[in-house]
Amino acid sequence: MKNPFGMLPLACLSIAVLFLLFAFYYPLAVLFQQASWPGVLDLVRDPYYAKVIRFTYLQAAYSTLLCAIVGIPGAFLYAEAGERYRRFLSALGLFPFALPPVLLALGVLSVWGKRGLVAPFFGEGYSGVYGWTGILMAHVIYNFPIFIRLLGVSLAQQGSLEEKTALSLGLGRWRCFWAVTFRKSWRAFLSSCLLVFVLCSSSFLIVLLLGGGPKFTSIEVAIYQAIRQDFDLATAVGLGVTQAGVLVGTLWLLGNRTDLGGEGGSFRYLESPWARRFAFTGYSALIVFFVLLPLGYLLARGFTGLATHWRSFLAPLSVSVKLALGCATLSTSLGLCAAFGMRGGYSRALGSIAASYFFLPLALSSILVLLAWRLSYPSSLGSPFLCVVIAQSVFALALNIRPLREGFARIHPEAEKVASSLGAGKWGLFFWVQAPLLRGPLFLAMVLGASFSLGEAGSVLIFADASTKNLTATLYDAMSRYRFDEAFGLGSMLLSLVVLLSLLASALEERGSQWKV
Amino acid sequence: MYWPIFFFWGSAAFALPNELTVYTYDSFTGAGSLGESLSALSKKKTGCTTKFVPFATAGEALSQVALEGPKTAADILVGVDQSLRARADALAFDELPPSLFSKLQSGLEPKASRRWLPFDYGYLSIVYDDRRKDVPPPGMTLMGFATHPAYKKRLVLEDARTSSLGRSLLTWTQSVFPKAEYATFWTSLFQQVLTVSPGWSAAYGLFLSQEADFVFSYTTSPAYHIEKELNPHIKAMIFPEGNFRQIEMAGILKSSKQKKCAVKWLELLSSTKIQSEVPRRQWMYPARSGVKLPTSFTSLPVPTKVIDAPENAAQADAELVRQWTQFAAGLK
Repeated sequence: MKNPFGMLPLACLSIAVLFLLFAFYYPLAVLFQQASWPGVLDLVRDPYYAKVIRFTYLQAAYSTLLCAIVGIPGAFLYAEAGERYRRFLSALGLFPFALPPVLLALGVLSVWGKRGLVAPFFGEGYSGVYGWTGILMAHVIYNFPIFIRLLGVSLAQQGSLEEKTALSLGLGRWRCFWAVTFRKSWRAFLSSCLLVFVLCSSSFLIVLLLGGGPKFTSIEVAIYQAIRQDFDLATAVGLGVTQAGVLVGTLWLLGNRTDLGGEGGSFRYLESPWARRFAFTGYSALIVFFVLLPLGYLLARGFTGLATHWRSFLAPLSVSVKLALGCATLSTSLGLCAAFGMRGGYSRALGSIAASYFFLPLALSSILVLLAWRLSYPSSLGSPFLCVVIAQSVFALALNIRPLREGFARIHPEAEKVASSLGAGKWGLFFWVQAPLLRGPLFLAMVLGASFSLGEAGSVLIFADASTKNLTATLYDAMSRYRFDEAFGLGSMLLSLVVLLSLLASALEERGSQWKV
Repeated sequence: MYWPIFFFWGSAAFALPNELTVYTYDSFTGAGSLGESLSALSKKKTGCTTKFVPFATAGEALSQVALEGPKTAADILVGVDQSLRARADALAFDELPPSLFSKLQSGLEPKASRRWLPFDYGYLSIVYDDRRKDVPPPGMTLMGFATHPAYKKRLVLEDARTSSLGRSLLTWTQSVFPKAEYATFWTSLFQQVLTVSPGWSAAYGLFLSQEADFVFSYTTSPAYHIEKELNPHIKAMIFPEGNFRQIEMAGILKSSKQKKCAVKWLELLSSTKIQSEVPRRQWMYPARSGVKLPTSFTSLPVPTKVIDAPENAAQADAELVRQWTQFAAGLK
């Protein structure tokens, strides 16, 4: 069929490309121009930085492996579960983006720390989970829900025809899952691994707070030190290039393809009610113990602060909500433009370049990006609010472009063909065929954008004035002034907001998937 | 299309007449801060308005000034301490009028150049809660604390790689200990360390949540708990070797087009009115002499020996920090 949209996809893609060009690549160019370029190879040869680089990717690889071990059963159960349990599992997926790491670290320590809930069981000599244990545990708590979000949703939509055929030909259920079902979603699995790897390799506060000391230095910490303490731009840029090079290379290897959906629904492996109950209860217990208990502690600890200071929280709450809506709308609109523009018609290499172009903001040290913005746009003369929304959308776009691309990939060409033959023009095709079929991915993209905005403070600190501080920035501010009760109160409010958003998103997503053809 | 906003957004910052641009750390600005109070007073008394550009730390604000070079939008930089001063001195800051320094407490007057006006100070210390076990006895030395078996894995300190307070600790201990003892001190102290935090906020959070029993902070930290929580149990250690005095300063950029306003602004910063607000807003001592302190401050013990960084002290450099990381990793 002839492309019914003509030049429209290219025009849409150009909008998203130009946005990133001005909001991300131009500031980066300004920063790189300032730095006298070091030999990146010399940096890698330096034994200290070689160790830093080795540690960064080693901890990210271990964290990814552990997240996969915990996340795959969760994704499997997501595909097996009913609506309610799915909502519960997918609600967890927003915490990594919306919860400030310092709060999560304090929550983890409340359970696993030296004076934590479990400490009495380990005796007097117990000194907490600092070191590898703490880093890996926090990374798993933070990131395993990503597997549920990406892999679980993919598994749930792959259909059941092949499984039924394989089982009828005598394949065991265990082998059938790995050889047939999992294989159909392997790109979603790789996407999950990549995203977790990227997030863990740029982890900063978790490594510092739970690592327990300077023997754990990640690239992000070294960049922070180079920029903010030593003012050594050359080293910072060199490390940033190394970091971005590795991650963009990984993305390149992953390629440009997305998982295509099946006929919807999924094959149910757990037939016996006993096995279902055992699996769901066991996994829920694991989540309660490792995830909900630390988060529950944060809620409980913040209750006093929330009860006392709630009136003063209303202003940052209102800012947070407005910023979240702004970021969700802008990043989703741009994501939609980009995904629409990248839809088919390109070689794999060109597709990979486009994917890397949008993904790079997530792969590069946020400290380096913030510095680049400071340098390029020192003053937010237009509107501080708009500046923050634009800055946050740069990162949110990198997060939400994949679900949107997968959404487009799942639209059956037959549906467009039928609509075209019935006389639908390009706008009719978009509004009456594509848009309704994209509701699920659109909700997910909006929610990812909003969640990212809720937890983000860097751009708020750069561009916002005193009247546009969101909950997270106000929380850090309260902590720096001894007002820890207030900080935990703000944390509770933030957490409650994320929970509400998650539940709303899951409900909307569920409804969106019912509209899917 | 959103991109046109960038041309407007990205155009160089232009200052309004009589508007001062002040680069500083975040907690100096915002509701209830010293900066807010000073900004209101400046507008009322001089007609000069203040535009704060807050950064996470004063070090970051200084880096921004350096990055922007002679075209910097900043008129004033607030928050430079001794650990940042060598870096700040390499940039173009103006000599300040001598009258600004006339009311400073003794020991705070600059010895060489007058480019930096001290506006508050505090003494570094180890802070503890006297309701927890093994309270340090009065007169305990820094080395005594570092080697005492009862304090093993009970201290949280700030990371010298990411915190200027952490770097001040290196300067302090370098001033106190000869080279051989310096290594022994840090090797021993790391036995007492439960964890190292990225900055003061997280470290103090761990101390308050009882994860750690000791934290590196200021001798004035207990004043907050006395004043706001009526809690007299938070105490700071006074060391016989001396406590390091951290002085926060402000300076005017040579490139400033608002020199008159900037000088008036610093005059107000060192005025009795604003200086009397320093204790309750900054939780530090005011730099001006003769300012009445609140009761929560007058009840605090004051160091018997004060360690000041030498005037020309270089910032603890990357090599020193690397050496410190090796102590932490047990490699030295």
